[in-house]
Amino acid sequence: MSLEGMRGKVGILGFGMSKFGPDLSRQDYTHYAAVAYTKALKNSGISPDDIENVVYGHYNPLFRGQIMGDIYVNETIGMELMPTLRVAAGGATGAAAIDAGVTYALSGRADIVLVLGFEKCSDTYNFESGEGISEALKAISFSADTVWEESLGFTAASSYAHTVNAFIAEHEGHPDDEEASIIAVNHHNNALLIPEAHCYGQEEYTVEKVMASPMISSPFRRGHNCQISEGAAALILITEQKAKEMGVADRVVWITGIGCSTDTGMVGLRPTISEYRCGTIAMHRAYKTAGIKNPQKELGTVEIHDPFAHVVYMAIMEVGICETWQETSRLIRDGFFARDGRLPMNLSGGLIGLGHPVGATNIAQAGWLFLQLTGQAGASQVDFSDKRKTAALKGMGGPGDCYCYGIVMQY
Amino acid sequence: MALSVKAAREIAKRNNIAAELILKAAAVEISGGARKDDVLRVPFRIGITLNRSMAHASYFFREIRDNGIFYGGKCPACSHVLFPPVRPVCLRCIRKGELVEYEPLKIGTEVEGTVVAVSKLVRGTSKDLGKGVRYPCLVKVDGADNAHWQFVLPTENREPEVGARVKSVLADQEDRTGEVGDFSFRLM
Repeated sequence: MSLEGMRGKVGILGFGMSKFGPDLSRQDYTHYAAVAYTKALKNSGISPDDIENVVYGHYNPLFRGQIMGDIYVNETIGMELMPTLRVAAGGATGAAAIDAGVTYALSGRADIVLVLGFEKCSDTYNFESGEGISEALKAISFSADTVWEESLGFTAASSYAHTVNAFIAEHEGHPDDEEASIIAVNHHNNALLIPEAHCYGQEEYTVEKVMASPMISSPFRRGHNCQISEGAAALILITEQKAKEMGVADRVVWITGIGCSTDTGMVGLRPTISEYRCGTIAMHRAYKTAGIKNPQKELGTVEIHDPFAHVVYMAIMEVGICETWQETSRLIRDGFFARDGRLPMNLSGGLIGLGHPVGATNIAQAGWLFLQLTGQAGASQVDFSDKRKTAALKGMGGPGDCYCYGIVMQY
Repeated sequence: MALSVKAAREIAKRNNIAAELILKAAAVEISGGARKDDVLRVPFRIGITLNRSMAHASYFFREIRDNGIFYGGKCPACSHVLFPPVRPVCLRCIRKGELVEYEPLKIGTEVEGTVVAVSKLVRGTSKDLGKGVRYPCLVKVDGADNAHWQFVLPTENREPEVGARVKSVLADQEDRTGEVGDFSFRLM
């Protein structure tokens, strides 16, 4: 099995993103989507007329009170009459949009595809309490089954905590508070090197600081959590044949594997609660397509969906980097996944540091893999001279993390 | 947020990169749009009122609200049991392509079960979501093939934990609304 279509392989030619932040209210969402789009255009070197298809990633219309905001982004960036598609898959919306864009290109329907993810969330506000985050969390809670779970006060944190706590109970207390904090420190501090990151300009995390931060939903402390962000990110995808015709094939990071799996949204309907089955299945489908047999040795860097640091620990096993919790704990403590480690993780900062404007998140993570592999990552750049230029992305989301996408790319 | 020159130098030193790169990056901020002090915000409420049908589960909610009696759903073909009856058709039979509706399974005025997953919501992230400690759990009711998301009330000395036995608690009759919040669980 290989990921080749009518016009050969498909890869990433360009990337751009807006600032990710808690409040971009100076700009309408159409505005920062346009910023990401034009930056991706410039980065790729193509013109708007080269684009033949657009896929939008946008998760939650309740954030803005605007259904189908993709239409208004589409007309803002001059793409009217273009074939377009909007996808939504909870936190994995960006990865789903990449999947759809790659599929369009593989099918032969388009040689160059724009994948543009965006999210607006700072409009959520409760005038009585004077708070915004609670309204954003409420908007997210409507992803849960509204008859059986949302109406009880469902939150993403409690949903994740069910699975994480069950995992911890089965793995002798791991990840423990310190291991999760090491992960959070790595990701947050990586984002301090990226000016567009939500956490850019903030103080560095230390393990001690994270472990001293308040508990939100056990075992998650505030320092273990992702950010609630808004912003936009864009990728330019291109087929192999078109890249050769344009003489840009040497700049393309090829997407060599994609896998997807969707589990039940209600965790209580699953046969096991202590794992994300869909994560393991999606990643192994991606590896099978890409021909990856030993992820720990064959990958040079990874981007993991990290809404909570503990989920990353589980993902390290799901994505096949470690087979046992003992090895996972050892590698985390030994700095294997740190910036200067053998397999640096979430150099983008991930959801914890870069931020989580849902529809744009996985697109930005893929974009930073592209920048790292092609040596365009600026202050964030790591040295790949002793690493393979092969990377993997794991995106996940939805109630109970029911959606999971694995993406493998190679330069 | 602007980064001080001192902070940029410290970050650069720790990461063994040129401070100029950090300072250059620090200059990148949101450009365009309204001036920060000129952003106008206006209240907006999505004023849609729903009159929700509980459809196949109407009997479940009505019986709890009006009579304090719990029902599950049982497949007449394969005996698969759901508590509560969250889906209308048998989740086991549909995998074989068979459409079989669950039938009401009367349990009684209380149900017992086992906690299979716990989360401890230590503090609300805002006053709007409530403060204090709450325990959203997954509870597998005896005889059911699924687990149910529901709050479990602690006792003075015990917190809910995996494996704990629990019993249903009905809301006061006048407070029942025909929704899933009409009951919860408490530790036995």
